[in-house]
Amino acid sequence: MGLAALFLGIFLLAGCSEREEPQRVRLWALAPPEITQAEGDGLAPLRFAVALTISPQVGYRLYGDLTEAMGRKFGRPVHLLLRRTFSEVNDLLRSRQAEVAQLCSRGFLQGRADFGVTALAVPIVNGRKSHPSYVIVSAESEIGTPAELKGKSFAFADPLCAPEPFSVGRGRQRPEAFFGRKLAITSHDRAIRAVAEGLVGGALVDGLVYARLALTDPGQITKTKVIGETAPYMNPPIVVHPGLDPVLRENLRRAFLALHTEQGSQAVLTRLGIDRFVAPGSELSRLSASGERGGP
Amino acid sequence: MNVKQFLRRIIAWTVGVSVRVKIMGIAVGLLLLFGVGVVIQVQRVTQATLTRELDERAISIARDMAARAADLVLLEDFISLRDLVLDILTSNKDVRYIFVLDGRGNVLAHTFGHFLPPDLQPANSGDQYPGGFRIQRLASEEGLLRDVAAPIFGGRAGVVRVGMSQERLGRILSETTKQLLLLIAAVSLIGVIAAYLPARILTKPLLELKNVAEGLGRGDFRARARIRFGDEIGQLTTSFNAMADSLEAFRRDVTQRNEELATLNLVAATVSQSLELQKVLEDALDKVLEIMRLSHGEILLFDAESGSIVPRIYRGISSQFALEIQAFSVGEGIPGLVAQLEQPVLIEDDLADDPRLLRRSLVAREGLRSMVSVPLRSKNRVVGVLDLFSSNVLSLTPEQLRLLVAIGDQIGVAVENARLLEELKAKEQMRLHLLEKVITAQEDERKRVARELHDETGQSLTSLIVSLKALESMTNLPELREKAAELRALGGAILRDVHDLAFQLRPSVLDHLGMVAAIQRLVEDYTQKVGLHIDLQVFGFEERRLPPATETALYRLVQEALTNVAKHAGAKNVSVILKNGGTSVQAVVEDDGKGFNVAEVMGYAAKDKKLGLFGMEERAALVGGKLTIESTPGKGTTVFVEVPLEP
Repeated sequence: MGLAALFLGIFLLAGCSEREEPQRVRLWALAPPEITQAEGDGLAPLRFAVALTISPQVGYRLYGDLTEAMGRKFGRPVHLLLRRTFSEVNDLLRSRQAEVAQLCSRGFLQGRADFGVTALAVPIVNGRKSHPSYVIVSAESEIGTPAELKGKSFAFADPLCAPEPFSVGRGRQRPEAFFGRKLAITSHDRAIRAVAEGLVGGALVDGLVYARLALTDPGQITKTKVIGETAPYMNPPIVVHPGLDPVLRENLRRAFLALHTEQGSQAVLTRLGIDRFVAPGSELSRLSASGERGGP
Repeated sequence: MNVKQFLRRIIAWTVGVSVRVKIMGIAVGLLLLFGVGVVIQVQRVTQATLTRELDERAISIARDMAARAADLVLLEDFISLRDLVLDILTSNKDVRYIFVLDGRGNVLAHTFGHFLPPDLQPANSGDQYPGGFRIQRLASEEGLLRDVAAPIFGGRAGVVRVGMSQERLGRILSETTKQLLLLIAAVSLIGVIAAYLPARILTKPLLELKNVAEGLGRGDFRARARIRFGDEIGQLTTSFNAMADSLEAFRRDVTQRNEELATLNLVAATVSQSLELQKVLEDALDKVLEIMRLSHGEILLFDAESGSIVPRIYRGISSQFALEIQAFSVGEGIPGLVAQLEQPVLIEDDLADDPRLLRRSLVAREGLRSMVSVPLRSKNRVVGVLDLFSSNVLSLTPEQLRLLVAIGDQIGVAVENARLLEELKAKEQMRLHLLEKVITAQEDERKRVARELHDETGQSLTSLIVSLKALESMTNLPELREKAAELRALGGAILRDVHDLAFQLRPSVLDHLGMVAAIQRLVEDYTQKVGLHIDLQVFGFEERRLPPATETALYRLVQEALTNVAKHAGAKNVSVILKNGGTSVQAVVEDDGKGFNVAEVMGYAAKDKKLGLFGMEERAALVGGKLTIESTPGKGTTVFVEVPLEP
């Protein structure tokens, strides 16, 4: 009797499998992919290119909000184009694939030199138009000065944007000679995380990114300490192609300069660590005077 | 033949196969059933496990892909994205395709080359990702697919779609099933071999039982089945053997009973060949000796007159031994004891030392060592004893002894029948004698009447005639008167004689006044003539007379009894009692005479021609009555007659 119940159980269990008819697809019938056009109200989107100093996803979140704020302010959809390097952004501007961009000071200089990019606005951060880069090490590290980093592993975020040469140690050695190992990490926030988690002995990171991260992710920052900083350099300006429609350029300039006046946009700027945008002034000439020295 | 009949035939055939085949069939059937169940279950569990694992891998790959694609999509690095999808496709098994869609559903990268299957994009579409992914089963020309959609950067940067093929899973399942089926086949084969041994162990005693049962059927009652184990079959075998024992005993019993009945029939047939007592006894003894394979024996019969047991015939023993003791009293010696107890006595050995034996010295001389003595009975009454002797030890089983007792009863009945026949013959003889006597008596009576009439009455009448003639010549009146008176006296005497004669022939008072008056007259007559003192007492005859035949019979019986008293008893006092009880009438004649031995006189009546008593019995019997005579020598005699009356 028990055996019969066992077999019955087995058969009943065996019958209890999912038997929902699956959707049919043809794998061998190929066709060109369908393209869905962007929804729009007829207006071509304004393309805003950003050379990231932070990881793309964090950048997308921050600049996505800024893009939306700009769109609202501008009355026109704004399409965010993220790129790793300022040269890529410059390429977009030059090839007119982007109407407006934010570049590091070094990228701005490069662009201005190459095809004459024009700065529309400069962000004020903590009341200043410029900021240094920091040399950071782990909070638990006994290293107290950049000179003590000799022979250690060291990370540069975006070498193109990094101040170069970096004066460390005595005799202003090249970094390759000074550090035990030199790493290029694609974004400053990742470089901070690499130091905080002990993956590298130290890193040179953008001061703006460091300050913003202190607000958004203080846990990371407390695991690090600043042991040195570079000379300040101009905050990354908002630039346009010199050939951009002057009306549009003017509209853009106004929009950026007035962003902080709107409540929603103000919050976006706060998340970006920006007080407001101001018109560029003398700092541009100083920047030019300092030659190639610039910052992210 | 319809399906039902076919199925019924199949079931009948299945049920009808041997137990060995059944056991093996059950074992194989169970194994197969179990195996099939296991295969199905294993297949199901394996499929579920592999599918789950496939799903988990698909989800893992899709999520990993989504995470890794996020930066590339956001940075619009589609070359790297394409490299990534191709890299993941080649580095992961079972991945059939990968493609990445942007937030608007446009394909950013895929693994199909230039073109893409148009069905894939719309499949597994939607905005909801419960648990961070969405999975859907798809059917394709290559079999089932698990399509997993994982959002990139929360869905804002698009979606990664990973298609996992279930082909390898199917192959694994097929391989597993094949191996399991092979295993089940092998196990079933082993099961058949393994089931054969217990089946053989189980069925061997059953086959033995069957053989023994067949042997029993053929009449071989000695064979028994071997009990191997104490299990149910062992218990069955024990019960079967017990049944065989009972059957054997029963058969033995029946055979013995048959033999006994055959023997009894033989004895019965033998003793019924003749109705002559002597011949019956001889035949019976010879047959019993033959059956018992003995040579010495005797039959003794109960003698009613002497009340003892008397040897009648003997075989193998000397006449001296047989007739040493003429008669055994009841309770005396072994035959007397057997007759008294109505039980057989068996003395198996040392007969001469038995204290019950009377003929001890002769037993020793005859060389007899043992004996068996059984009663011969008829109607629960011992009529004799059968003694069988042997010069060896005589061992009889209880059954043999019982048979011998039955034979004894058979012989007893035959003896009784022969005796009754003898009595019947004797009675017939007596009846002939009586008839002869009746005829003779009638002639004698006529002679007597003739003689009486001639000698007495004739002479008296002659004398009267002569005297009357002399009277005619007589003239002297006084003389005449004297002579006349003398003649009158003579005439009166003649008349009395005639009256007496007539009364003796048949008293008219019997006809006119009835039996009681006639007997009173008879009593008076005997009192006068014989000088007996007769006391007559009569009860219950006041109302009506009895039937004439009964009155005559009773009158003649009382007359005969009184005649016998007068002739033989030498009694002084006689008492006659007549009593009418309504349903019967009784007559008792009791005297204080010398009495006689009733059995002797009645038993040998024919021989001694004692027709008087026999005639009385016959006369009573003629009116349906019964005559009983009680008498002891020296103590008088009582004759009872009872005649029933018609209601």
